[in-house]
Amino acid sequence: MTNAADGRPHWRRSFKTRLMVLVSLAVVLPALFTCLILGIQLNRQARNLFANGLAANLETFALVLEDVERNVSDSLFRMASDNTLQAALDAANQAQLKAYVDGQREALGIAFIAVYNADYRNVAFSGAEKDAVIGQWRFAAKGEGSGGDCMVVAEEAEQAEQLVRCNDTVYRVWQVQIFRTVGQGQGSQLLGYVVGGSRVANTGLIGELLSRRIIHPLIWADGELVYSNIAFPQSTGPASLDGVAHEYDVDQTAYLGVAKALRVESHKLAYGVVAPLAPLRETLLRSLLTVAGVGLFVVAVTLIAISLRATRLLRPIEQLRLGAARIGGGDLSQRISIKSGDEFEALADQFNDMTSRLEGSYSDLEKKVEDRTRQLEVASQHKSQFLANMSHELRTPLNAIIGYSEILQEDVTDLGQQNLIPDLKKIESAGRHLLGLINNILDLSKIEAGKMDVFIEPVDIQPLIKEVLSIVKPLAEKSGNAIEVICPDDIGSFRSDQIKVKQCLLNLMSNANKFTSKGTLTLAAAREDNGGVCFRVSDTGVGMTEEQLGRLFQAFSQADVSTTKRFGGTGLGLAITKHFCALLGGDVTVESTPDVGSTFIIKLPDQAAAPAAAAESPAPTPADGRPTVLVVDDDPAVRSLLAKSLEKEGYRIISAGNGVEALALAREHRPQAITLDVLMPQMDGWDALKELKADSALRDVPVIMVTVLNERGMAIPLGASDFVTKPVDRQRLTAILRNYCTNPSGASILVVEDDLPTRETLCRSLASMGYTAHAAVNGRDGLAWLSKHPRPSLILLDLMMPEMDGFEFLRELRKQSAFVNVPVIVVTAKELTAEDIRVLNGQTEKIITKDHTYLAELAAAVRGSLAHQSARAEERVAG
Amino acid sequence: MTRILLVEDNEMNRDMLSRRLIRNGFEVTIAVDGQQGVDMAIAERPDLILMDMSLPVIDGWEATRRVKANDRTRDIPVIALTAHAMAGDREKAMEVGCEDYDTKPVEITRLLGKIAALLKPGAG
Repeated sequence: MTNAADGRPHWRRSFKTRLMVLVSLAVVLPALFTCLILGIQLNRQARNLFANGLAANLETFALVLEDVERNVSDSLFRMASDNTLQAALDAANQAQLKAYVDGQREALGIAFIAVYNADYRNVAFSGAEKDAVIGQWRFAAKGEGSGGDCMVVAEEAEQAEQLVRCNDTVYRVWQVQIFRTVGQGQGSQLLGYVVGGSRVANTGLIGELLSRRIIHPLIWADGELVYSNIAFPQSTGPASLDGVAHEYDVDQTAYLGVAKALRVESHKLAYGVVAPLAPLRETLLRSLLTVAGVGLFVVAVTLIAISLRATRLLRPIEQLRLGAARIGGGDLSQRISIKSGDEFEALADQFNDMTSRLEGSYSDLEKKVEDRTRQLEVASQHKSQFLANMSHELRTPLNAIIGYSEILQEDVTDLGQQNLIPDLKKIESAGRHLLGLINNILDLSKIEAGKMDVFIEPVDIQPLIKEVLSIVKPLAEKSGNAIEVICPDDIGSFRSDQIKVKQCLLNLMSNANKFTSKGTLTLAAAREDNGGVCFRVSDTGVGMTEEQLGRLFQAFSQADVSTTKRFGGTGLGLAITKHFCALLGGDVTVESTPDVGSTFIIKLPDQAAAPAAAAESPAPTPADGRPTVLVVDDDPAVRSLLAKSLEKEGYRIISAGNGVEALALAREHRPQAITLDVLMPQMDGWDALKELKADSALRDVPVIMVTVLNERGMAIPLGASDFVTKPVDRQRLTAILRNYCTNPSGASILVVEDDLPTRETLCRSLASMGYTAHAAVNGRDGLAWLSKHPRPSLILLDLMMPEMDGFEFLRELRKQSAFVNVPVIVVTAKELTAEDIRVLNGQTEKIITKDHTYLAELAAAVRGSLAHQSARAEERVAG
Repeated sequence: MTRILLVEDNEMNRDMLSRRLIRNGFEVTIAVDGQQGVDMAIAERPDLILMDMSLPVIDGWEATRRVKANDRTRDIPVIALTAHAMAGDREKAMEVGCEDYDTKPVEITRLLGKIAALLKPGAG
């Protein structure tokens, strides 16, 4: 029920969605921005911290280096002043010296210790690579010059230090002079030198560094890498020696490192510390991810909270929308209940107030319209009655005037008083003229009241023209006009209203005669390309100007007020002619030139009442023989509900969601019935109904309106066959449908009719109703058909036919036991006598006279007859 | 001689039509209202009835219905004469059982044609 009043929301994005998007942007964008800034800051700070750590490590490195240096140089000093060494040197006791330095080297843990005498001769050596050491170190120029094999770093200095390379190993070498103090004031005596060398990257140093958590130390000597425990590139020197952190690429891994240097004589000993950045970055990334995760969680929670809140906030708007939709759909009893206590409640109250007032004025209006309509109906009835009475009252005395003047003419002829005849003729002629005028006024009134009957029958054109001429000729002779007729011999006949066509032609001819004297009147008839008939009435009279032409076909208007005085007449003839032509599906036009003449052209169709559906193809028969019902509702739930219940009843269902779709489907499938919802988007039910009824191919399809309100008053006049109210009572709907949809597979109908156009029209309209139509051209043909085919459900029978007419056919039909009960509907143009009716009564279901509305009557009769049959069949089954 | 019953209340019309019918060789009896028309139809069983529709006592529609309801008079052809030219008069006339229909003022030649058609033996 609410679905119908609901109407489908067809906005593109809901307000709620837009609100959510807005909030999401407001939350997410700042969060993203914050994360970005935070990430950059964090990265920078972490890097600084890391660099600071490295700098501290470097400081430690420096201290360790200093410790090593101090340790070695202190030990060498101690040795130099040791009496044991001095005594052994004095004695030149090599064995004793050797034992001494071996012991000292072992205690110190350095690479080598060498002792030289004052002549620079090596007297003792302990450690590896003695030859290399002794042989290569030629840096002490003096010693070399004196032919000694000693190395002296600095001859005068008490102590000296040097960095030397030997066999790819870099050593740090210290030299200390050996002095002995000789008595008081005699100074001292140089005994020799003791030299100690230590590998720059010795295991003691590295171990010490490791123990102080310096994992990746680097040592360079003169810019060349001496020690690294990672794959630090040999060629890469320290980026700077000022302790500032730099990034290094080690085997495609990023390291951060710091370095400093200390000078050893002319050499530079650089030391550095590096550490991989990867752990730092991982840590950093993990922190950022954590922050982002928390952020997302917060955003999600916020959105959910807002979503819940928004739904509650928007509920009044949704309520208002639904209420407005129902009220818009015509349910003015709707009230909206919102108790939110805010602006929405106030809005709902105002809305309800408005609806109440609308309801009030609507019902007032309806009442007024009803009253006014009733008044109008009464007035219209009065007018019709008045016209009928006037007609009678005016015609009765005229009847007498015309009749007596005719009788008198006959009497005076008998009496031989011929001289009185012209006067009597004048009386008769005046009477007939007056009668003509009264008839014109009555005709016009009937046309305007929509009460003009149209009686369609075959009209032979040549006899019609002869009849018109026989009436017009005396008038033309009086005006001195010649009459010319152009009418082909093979022009044949067409279906129209003979009396009205004749009246039109008479109107035009007498008009032409009235405005022409001593000229020529031409009446020409011809066939159009489309099969229609064209009559042209030309004169050589006064003609008309453009302005006069404009007013020509209006009632009570002649081309010029003055013409009334000159030519007489009521000016109704042309107006009536125009109306008649329109009634017959044609038109009248005029061409005129002042002082040359006028030509009036009437164009009429070949088949005046033939349905426009003639050009349409017959309805496609459903593949499985079930009657098709088109269900139109915008609510899919209602559609599927109706479809399910109707399919159970044996109907084939096609469905549409709106009026436009419904029209397309109806044109394609030609359903046997349509159920049409009223409240739909795009095109509502009433508009769809109007379109359906305006389409000649679909006009006959019964439409059942499905309405929320009881709108019979609207539905039936608009052409609906029936209506049901929502919620749909299924039993009622199926009962209605059963009336309109008989199973076409079971309903074959035999049409016995000699006239080809009528036969085709009948077959077509039966096909469009979903029945199978078979045609026979006369009674004998009909019987022949019956002998060869299964019994039809119904026979449509013409009476006047060649070879075997309808009466004889009926007699023969009822003689055969198989066909005793076949219902017959007589469709005839014959005016039936009482005898005919007596004969037909009891043998036929209904007699339908072919007039301009007979097809609608026939459709109802056929449906009724077949529905009646199927009901009887059901009773038999049930019984 | 063919006997025609003319049911007509207007004296002039009655006089006129009867004189012309007589001139054309018919024997004419007259009734001046619907009731009298029905009574005379039953009593005299004419060959044809010309029935005006606007009649006093009972109107032509009802009179025709009664004529057609009576077994004695059912087969007598009735031509309805009416000054009413409103929509549905023709259908109404056929409905009450008239064999034919003509409008007043009477066009004597047309009426004679219709009478002749209905009296032709075996017509229908």
